[in-house]
Amino acid sequence: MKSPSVLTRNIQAARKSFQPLFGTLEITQKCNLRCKHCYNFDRSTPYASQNELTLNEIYKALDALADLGVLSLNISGGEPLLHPDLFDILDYAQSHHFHLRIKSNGTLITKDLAKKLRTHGVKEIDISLYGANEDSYISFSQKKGFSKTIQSIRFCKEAGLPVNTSIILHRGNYTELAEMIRILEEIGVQYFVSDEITDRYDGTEAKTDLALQEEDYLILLKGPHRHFFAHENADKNVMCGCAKSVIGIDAHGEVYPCIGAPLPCGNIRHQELRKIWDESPTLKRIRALEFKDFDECSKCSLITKCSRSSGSAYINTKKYTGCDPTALTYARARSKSEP
Amino acid sequence: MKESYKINAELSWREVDGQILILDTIETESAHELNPMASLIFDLISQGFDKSGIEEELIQTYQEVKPEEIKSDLNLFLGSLLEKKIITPS
Repeated sequence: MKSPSVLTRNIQAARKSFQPLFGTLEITQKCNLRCKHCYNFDRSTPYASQNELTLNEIYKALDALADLGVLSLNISGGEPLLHPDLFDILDYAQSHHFHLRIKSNGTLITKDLAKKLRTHGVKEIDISLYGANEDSYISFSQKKGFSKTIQSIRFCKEAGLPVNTSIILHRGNYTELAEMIRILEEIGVQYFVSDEITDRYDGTEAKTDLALQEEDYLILLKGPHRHFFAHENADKNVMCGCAKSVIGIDAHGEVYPCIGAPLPCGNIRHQELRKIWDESPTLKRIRALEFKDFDECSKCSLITKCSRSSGSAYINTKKYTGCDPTALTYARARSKSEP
Repeated sequence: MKESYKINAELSWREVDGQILILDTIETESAHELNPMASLIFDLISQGFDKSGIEEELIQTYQEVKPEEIKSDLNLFLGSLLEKKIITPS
């Protein structure tokens, strides 16, 4: 048997010893776009727009994340580039030797900003791509942004900042997939496809009607980029790194098992992060889960085709161990597309 | 003259399971894992210890090992870190 790589071995060790090697810290909820698919809290509500972590609280969060053993830290939002103290935050984070990543919608990056991100310790940038033209952006993100995003990706590449582009695929843009891929390959950056659309965290708006339907998925599974969709889960894996090697903190200090699984576990304004991580009953419950606890999935005949995520299942059904209807739709399509 | 080193600013690192894991995604796209003794040396470099300071710490920590052996191993390890551009002379 081939021995696992250095990275895989360390991720496995971290998962076993509950060291959150991967962290996400949201530094703001503010955003210049209003994407229809956005999972994050409704920005028109007081919760989203007020009482965000102060700069000192962000520094304390960074200290605590380093102390817990986070190596790869994703600075997220909202749109993190809108934070007025972004470069102070990056400098402080850099002093803790994180593998620093930024997650951005890519519409605000200038040539100078790309260089500045690089010199302030950012090691990778994750940029979302919502379509292959301005019309698609306007209908999905409520604003123009396509040209700016493509330009931003070019600026980052020129600045020597590795770019991971996340193609956000939904009902309204999946026919543009080939064009998005063509553009990204021409620029020469890494990309992957995200077909996971969830409801809002705060339950104010259902978003899953934007998700790909079975007939859309069947078309994609027959297309030239089918490898992005033809997921195999022969090991019947239903668990992920949530609460084990992964941690998330939102812009208000709430700690989650993963930023994509918004189960509140404590708030760093009221408790030490270390105490929350070690003692939260929610985190302990997740760590103790076994295959049989996923009662629907463990009995499901489509499990070997399913790419379920517990975070999405929780957001869409309020049950962390439950069946995510969108993942089930995709699994059914995979099963039907087999020769 | 003191022999001092600094760690390549492009690197990220953290201790995992008692060993240091180093990531270099910008220059070589590689990951390195250091054994416990190498991890201690790396940690001392990150704290600003010079070569003779590191030697003293290692001799104190590994009293069962002959000092000459420690010095020789340290030279080899520092040479390897320099070659891989994980550290540079400062």
